[in-house]
Amino acid sequence: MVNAWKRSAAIWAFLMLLAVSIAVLAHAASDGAQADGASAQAASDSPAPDASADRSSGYRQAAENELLKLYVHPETMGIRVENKRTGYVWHGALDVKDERLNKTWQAFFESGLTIEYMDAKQKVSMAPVSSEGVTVNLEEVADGFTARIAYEQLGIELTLQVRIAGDAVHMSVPEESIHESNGDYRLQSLYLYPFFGATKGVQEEHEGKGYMLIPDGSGALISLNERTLASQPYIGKVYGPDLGMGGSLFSSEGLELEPEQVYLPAFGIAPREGADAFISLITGGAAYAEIRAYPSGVTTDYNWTTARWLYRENYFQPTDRKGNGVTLNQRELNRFDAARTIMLLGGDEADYSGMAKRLRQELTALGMIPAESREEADAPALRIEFIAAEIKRRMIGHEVIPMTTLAEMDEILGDLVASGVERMLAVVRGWSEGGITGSSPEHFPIERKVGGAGEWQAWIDRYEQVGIPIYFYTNYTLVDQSAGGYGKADIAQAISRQQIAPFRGSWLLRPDVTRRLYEEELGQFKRHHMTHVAFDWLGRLLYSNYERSPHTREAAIGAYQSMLADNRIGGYAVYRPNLYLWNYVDQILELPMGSSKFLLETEEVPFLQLVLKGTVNYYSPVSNFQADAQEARLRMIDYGSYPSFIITARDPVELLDTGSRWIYTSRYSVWKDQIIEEYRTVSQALMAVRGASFEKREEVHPGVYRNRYSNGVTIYVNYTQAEAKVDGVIVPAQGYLVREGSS
Amino acid sequence: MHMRTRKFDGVIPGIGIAFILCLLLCRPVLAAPYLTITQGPNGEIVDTQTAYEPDRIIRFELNQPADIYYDDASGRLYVADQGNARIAVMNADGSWQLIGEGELMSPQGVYVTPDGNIYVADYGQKQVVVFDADGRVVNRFGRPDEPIYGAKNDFIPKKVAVDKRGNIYVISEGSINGVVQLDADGDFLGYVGSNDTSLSLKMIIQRLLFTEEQRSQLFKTTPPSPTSLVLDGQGLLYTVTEGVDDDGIKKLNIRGDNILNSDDWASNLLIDIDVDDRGNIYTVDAFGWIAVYDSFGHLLFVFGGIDPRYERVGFLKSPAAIDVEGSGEALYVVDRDRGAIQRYRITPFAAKVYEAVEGYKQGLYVESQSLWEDILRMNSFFILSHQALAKAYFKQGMYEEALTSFRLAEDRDGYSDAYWNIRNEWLQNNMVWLIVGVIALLVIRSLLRLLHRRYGLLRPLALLRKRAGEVRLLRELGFVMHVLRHPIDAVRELKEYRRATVRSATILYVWMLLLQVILIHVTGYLFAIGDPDRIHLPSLLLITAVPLLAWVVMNYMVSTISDGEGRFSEVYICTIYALSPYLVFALPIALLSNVLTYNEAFVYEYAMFAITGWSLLLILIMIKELHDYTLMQTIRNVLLTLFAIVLAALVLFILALLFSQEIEFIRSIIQELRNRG
Repeated sequence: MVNAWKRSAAIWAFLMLLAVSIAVLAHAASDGAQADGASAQAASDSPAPDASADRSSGYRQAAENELLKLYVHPETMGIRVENKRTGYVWHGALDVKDERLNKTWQAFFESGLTIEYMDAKQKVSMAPVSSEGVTVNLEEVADGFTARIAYEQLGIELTLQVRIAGDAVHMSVPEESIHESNGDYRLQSLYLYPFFGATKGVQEEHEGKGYMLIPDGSGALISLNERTLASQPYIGKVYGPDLGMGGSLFSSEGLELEPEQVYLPAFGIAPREGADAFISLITGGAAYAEIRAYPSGVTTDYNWTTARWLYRENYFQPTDRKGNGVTLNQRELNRFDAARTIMLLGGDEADYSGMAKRLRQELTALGMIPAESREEADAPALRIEFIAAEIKRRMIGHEVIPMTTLAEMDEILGDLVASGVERMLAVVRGWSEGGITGSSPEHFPIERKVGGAGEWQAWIDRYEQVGIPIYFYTNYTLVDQSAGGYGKADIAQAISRQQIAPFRGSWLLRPDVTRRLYEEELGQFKRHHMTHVAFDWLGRLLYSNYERSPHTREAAIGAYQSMLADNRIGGYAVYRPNLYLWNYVDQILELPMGSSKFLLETEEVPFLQLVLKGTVNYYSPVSNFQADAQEARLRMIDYGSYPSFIITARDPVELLDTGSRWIYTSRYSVWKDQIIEEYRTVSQALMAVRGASFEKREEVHPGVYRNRYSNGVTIYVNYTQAEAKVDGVIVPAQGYLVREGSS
Repeated sequence: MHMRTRKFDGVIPGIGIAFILCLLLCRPVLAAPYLTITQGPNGEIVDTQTAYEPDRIIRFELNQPADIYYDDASGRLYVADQGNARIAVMNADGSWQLIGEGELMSPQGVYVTPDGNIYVADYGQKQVVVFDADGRVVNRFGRPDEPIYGAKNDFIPKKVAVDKRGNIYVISEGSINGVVQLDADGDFLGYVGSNDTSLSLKMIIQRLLFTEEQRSQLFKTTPPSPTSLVLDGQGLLYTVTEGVDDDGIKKLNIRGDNILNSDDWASNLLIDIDVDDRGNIYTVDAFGWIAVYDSFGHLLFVFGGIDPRYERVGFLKSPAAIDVEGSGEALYVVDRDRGAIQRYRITPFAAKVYEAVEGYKQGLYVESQSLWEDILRMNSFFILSHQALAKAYFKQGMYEEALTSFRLAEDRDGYSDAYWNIRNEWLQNNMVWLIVGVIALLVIRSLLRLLHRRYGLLRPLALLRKRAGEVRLLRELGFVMHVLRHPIDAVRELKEYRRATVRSATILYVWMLLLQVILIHVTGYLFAIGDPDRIHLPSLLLITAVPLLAWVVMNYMVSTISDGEGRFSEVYICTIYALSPYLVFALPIALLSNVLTYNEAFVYEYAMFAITGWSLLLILIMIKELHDYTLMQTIRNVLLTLFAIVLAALVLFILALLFSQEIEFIRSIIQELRNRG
């Protein structure tokens, strides 16, 4: 008996010892792995290339047309572009030695092209074309030049093409021209003419107003006249972060709201407003590009804004469930033609309105936005978004709570029409079985507590006839854990082979599955006469997928575009769409009305609106949650944006313990007056400019804006507390004024 | 002392101040990049409209500014420019002037009296330096020499405030006794607002067990010294203390007692505090969160934060001090490392909330009703508006409405009062019918009896009862009633005549679990443990089932080794039968609780106490009789069983821990192989 006890005690002790040692070893192993990861992330300065003296004399003319003259420096690939209309010469590279720059930055600025590479030790370095060991084979063609660039030591070769056409300079590095022959050096990223339009230091007031335009949210300016408090540059990943490369969607901490994303891959610099400016559009590889802006004082004394294309990225590879892992570098190169177009503007066009106008032309020519206005005279000018039903957890099981039934929606719309709100559209959200949270991504059957399946048809038809389209909210991107029937093959996988989960308990679908699901349900939509569909998430979330055969971001763009193009129905509305969907939608919902408010931004501008107005109808985010209704209203009139409201029949107190708890005020009886008020002010003010596009937006006095439209109408908006006298008219304090006819 | 004041026109080379101000002032920053939150129902934090928007960043050649004072009367902003050893003053027109250059060493706190005197807490010189409105030094107060100041106590001023009589309040670094109070001449008056040392249970146990030596090494039981202070218009002193979990914010009356009594959220890393002229409280903490409370300490708003991954307007790098303009029209927060001051301006929404709060404070419930209704329209979850409206309804005798609002506001006392009135009204209106009803019932009862006696009217019922008695299972379940009446006999009968079986006991166990779910749903709001929908069903069941099961198993095991006679099935059966009082009476008591208010709370509490005590007593009797123990043996058995339960839980916990590590290790190997392979 005693022996048995001893024996079992000994076995236990041994087992414990074993467990402890295994745990210690495992811990040590993961620590080691982490240390490896850290070294991969460490980026630093490259081996210093030689810094040279003044290069101004080395330029020779490469091409000329009726508007531009192009010069190139055969060693650095630096360019100069003369705008013949204004006589201004744009510098594409730094040509003088700046003592305050270190060698790396000097070489970077004086080169027309710079790559970043990773060596065998996983150190990332910059390799400007002007550094040693680079051979350039320059060949001039009729409208520009082509340069074969070989980094001999690195075994990386690529071809740079620069062409001029009209007022534009096109520059590109074609996908097929890139060759890597040394396995130790891996191409990471590319800069093309990062110094183009750069200025130095803080610009004095008498030198004129200058700024850089970045596409953060609706758009923002970085003044060249002000020393920034910021210490970080602006880095905006085009079309938002790629969840396929890791990371999560909502990573903000504390009370921070998610920063805005880049919906339109364009940026510009106006060194002197009203004299010279350029606007640049990323025409190739946008989905792999990021836009970077450095004001003077951040890293160097120069103000510069550029694009950076990413060929490979680091990603985090977890090795256990606790979150330990290693950082790895992408094995395969991203495949794309890196290309950007720089359009030069002069005189009156040299401001952000002019940039937007020129960009609109370019996008129209490229077929990325509709050539003709899709806004008819009786088009909707207000959006009502109904919350139909939501699911609530009970102690035992769940209960669907009808927030607005079909009959109530009918009553509310009828009441609004009777109150004079006639040009509107409605979006019904949470109409599928299980309400908002309980439904995605399948949208049928319809939730019975909202209304009988047979009742919808007649209701939809009735409002369609009076010109009020009813859109049905869908989310074909997100799948919740409560939704059954979705296997591994349907869910998108990140490069780390983890399923992409933007929140705990929900995953993203593969773009081709999204398309398939929608097409499968299309018949049901048609059967219920639901001819207008609104898509959330699909327009702004772009992710690569590594489930089986890799599916790139570009392929995802294609899938979404063809999904909308091949299945035309009554109308499509998309929430916050990126540029690539603009040509496929009838209504843009929740178009951002501001930027991320980064510290380096000195002014928010409606750049997206300036481009879009007159092509696609767009609506502001909902007005419910505004702390200052009057100011929000003024901004809508200023930005040409129609108002939106989120509406329920029941008190949203019911939503407190649900997934929709962010809706804390939505009851129709509470909001009715404000809806009518906003329709009478905003929608009516914008009636005068329906279908027209922005001609120019100017700040005539501090806080007072003058918006001139293509149909000759001018809208003045005064944000200040005092009335303002402009062009002989008086704009009331915190008010606006619409003036028909040209001034 | 001579005056050294300088006027500035252009400070930043090349750019005129007017130009900068215009750029910063005229920029329309509409919405904020942060969320604003407030207190919602059920102790939850909910979103709300932006209360303050980032307005502009005030820049000047500031180096590590430490404190700020906004003078409402003159519109001047006084900044303790610590790195430059001076006070920088921004006039209402945006121009700057400097005070105290050459007089100060390391100013950390600044305070301005209505007559324009500037009090500076100079950390470097260990003095409070007083300047007049023209910037001349008029006084310097060093360490008080009174013996009661404490021989060991140093005087290192960090923050300073002055009341109407000229008394000076100083936060001195490391002062464990609280805020140093000096009179207008710098003579020491005493300490106010000291913090308590809080003792945790662990510390108390350690104290009992450790030797004197260990104790003196382990415990530094000196109370934390306050971090910052402010005085309001009535001369009440407010302090904040960094690093304490309770009472981080204090509002002290003349006697030095904290009169703030609120359970609402407060940061535990508070940095500075200010009070507006209505008594609303503003704090900023090390996370950059700015919190606004009403004068009772109810949380109104929280917003802002430390620079996240990106530098964004309205976020702070290193918040150091906060000051409020007027009735909260604007806030100024010193961003120390950035050398700038972030101004936030109020939104119309927050202004409306303040107006309503003011009415509530003055007890004008009915008068401020429409304001609160407006706020509720803008946010259905705003708990303070439910509370305020409840009081307004109550005052107007609208008890039904008050009841709903009190419930949303989670004000149980208010709910109880409102319900009392409703019940009273109902009773008054229905008293006659109630009496009539009772009399009618009595009459019917005696009538039935009479009829039964004469004609056997109720015979079928008696028959039915007899039939039921013949069904074995029902008889077994009915034995519960017998247990209530004759507990000692019952246990013996259970054991010897098998009056109950495992089958009937299992049904009772299931009823026990079911009862938990039912109780949660039917207990009156005032006595309920919580909202049924927020209770996790599996854990509720486990919390009941696991201890019961553990008790049965462990009691059997312990009894077996200590000569108990009971078999496992008997322990299983007897345990649940011993709980008969609870099984039978808990439900009626819970139902009764629906018509009780807090005035009659004792009824519910005594009843619950009685059935629980009765059940426990029955368990003791059960053990004694079942195992044939003496009283001492019984007590020992109970204690041993409890000890065994604790031991078993511990072992299970350790095993679970070991296995989870093992599984994690294997999983990571597989993952590794997949990645490399």
